[in-house]
Amino acid sequence: MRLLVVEDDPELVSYVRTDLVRAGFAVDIADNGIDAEHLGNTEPYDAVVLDLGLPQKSGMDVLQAWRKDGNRVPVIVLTARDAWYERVDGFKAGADDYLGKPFHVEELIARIRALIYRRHGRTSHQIETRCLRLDEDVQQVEVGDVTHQLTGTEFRLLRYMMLNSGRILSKTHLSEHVYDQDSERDSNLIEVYIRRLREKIGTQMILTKRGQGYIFNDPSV
Amino acid sequence: MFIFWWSATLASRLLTERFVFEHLAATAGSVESVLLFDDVSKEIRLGNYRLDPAYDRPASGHYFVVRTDEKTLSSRSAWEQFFQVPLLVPGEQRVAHGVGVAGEPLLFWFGGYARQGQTFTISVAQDVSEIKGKLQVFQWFSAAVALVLLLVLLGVQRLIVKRSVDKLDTIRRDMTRLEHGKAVALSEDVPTEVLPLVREFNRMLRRYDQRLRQSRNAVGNLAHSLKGPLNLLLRATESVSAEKHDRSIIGQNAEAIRQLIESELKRARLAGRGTLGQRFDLDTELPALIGLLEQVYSEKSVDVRYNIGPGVELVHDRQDMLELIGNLLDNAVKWSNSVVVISLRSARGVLLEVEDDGPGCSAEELGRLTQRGVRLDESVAGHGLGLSIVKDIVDMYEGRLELTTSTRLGGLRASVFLPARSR
Repeated sequence: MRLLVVEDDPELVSYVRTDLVRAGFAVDIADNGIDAEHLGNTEPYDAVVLDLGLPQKSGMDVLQAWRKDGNRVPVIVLTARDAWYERVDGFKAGADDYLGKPFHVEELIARIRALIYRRHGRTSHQIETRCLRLDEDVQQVEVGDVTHQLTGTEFRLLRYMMLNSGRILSKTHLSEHVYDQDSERDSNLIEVYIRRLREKIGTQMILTKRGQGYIFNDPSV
Repeated sequence: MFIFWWSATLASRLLTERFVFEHLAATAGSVESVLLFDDVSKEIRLGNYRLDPAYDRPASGHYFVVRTDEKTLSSRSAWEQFFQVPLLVPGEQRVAHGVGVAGEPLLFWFGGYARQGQTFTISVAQDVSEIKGKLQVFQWFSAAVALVLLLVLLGVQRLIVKRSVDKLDTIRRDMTRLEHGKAVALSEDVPTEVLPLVREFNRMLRRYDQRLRQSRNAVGNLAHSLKGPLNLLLRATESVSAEKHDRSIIGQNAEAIRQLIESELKRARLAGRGTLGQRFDLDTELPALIGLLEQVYSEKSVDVRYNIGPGVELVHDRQDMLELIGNLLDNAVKWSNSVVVISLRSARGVLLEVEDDGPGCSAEELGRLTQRGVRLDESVAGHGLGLSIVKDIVDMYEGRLELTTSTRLGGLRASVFLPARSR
């Protein structure tokens, strides 16, 4: 899951980023409205955390511009003034959720997860298939009775594939959602991680479509 | 106008009479000049006179009589002693009104004379019915003219008054528009007499609006500047390095400060009654607010129904109204099972009701909630939070907040009455 956090307070950004990364998100940061609008339109983010009081271009304007361009990326509006009128304005501009400052990062993470699940048509807060259960808090996967620890990249990759099960996902697509923009994005690395995942959860869960990519499929479903 | 007519009538009558009397006096002079006196017999008789032939025609309307102590001479037009002539001392003159035999109005002129030792009185009379008739025509005419003048004057006056009031009317219309939030200032196209007043009023409006915006900005800035450090403080309590006991103390206090700032800032943000030029557009804001809540509580799938009665108009500050309705609805949706109903009716103001089908409150809790001076968020956990700010807004708008049990849905019913802006 790749996030864009748009916030101009460097201290807030630094600790939010740390916690989000620890929670298994690839995080990009924008500290002004212009950059935010550009990044949001060019990178395939799974969700955006958007502050309203931004330099150069207000968060509300950025959101409106995205929606006008047909960009439907899920957006959580972050505002110091969590007055109702701002939420209503955010809603009108096309926001998906609202979080008033100050907030606990746990709350933000829960909201981001809920929003992403909602976008994938899930209501449950658990990512599980018949044989697999992904524990997001400790980043491990239970295969039947056996529990496997996952590295950060493995976790992000598996979660993304489980949320998008049944869809063919190219290596480029996967790397775009698993790494942030500053990381070295070598799509061959995806192959390595897919192999490692297969070692942990079994080979039949992730199928290879030659020349197209991978597809997550729980054969027991 | 009546006085004008009356004085014109009187003046014309007096003038005519005076003219007639002068004519009579002149005639008397002529009569006097043709009188012949017999020195011996002291007889008096009329010489060959050349007077108006009317004096020779009987009942012509022109008469004269000359009277001495012993004898009375009269014109041929007048028969014997048909009117009484008083004896006057020489030099005395008198006038009188009288009536002729046929009832015609007469004017008399009497004058006392003395010649060659004889004293006598000459009386000349004239029938003035014709003159009176003409006078009456004149009077009617002047009355008609006066009446027409009066009507014209009234009309002109009315026009003038209406024109100046029409200009004032634009102010009245502007005030209404202002009240309904469709304008932000009064038009300055008004009579010069009230222009300074209108200018001053507009200036005050602008200043008021500016002050409100300034204080809101100040509040927003304060929120920004306070929340940042507080956030970091809260964050620090989550770090592992601090002692557990210290962390909980810091955490609790920081949280308490946060909540305090939160509620006080919210209160300070409220605009309250009397903000002109603002109108809360229910038809667009309410669906947006409901959409927002349905989005936030999407997992509950609560059905929020709304019903805006005819003529409902909330001429109040948008932020305040969103805060008020937002908090009420949020509470209702939070506690409801599946249905929330919000209805607005106009009743010398606006009556707003939010009902839910949640667990509601016991009678005892409801009593406590509506007690004066009780902080709602202290009294009932959960249900309160938003209700305290709701109560602040309602108080500021001099309204009423009532919490009861919903008869049709079974949960809590919050009724808010906001009176119409006082005129």
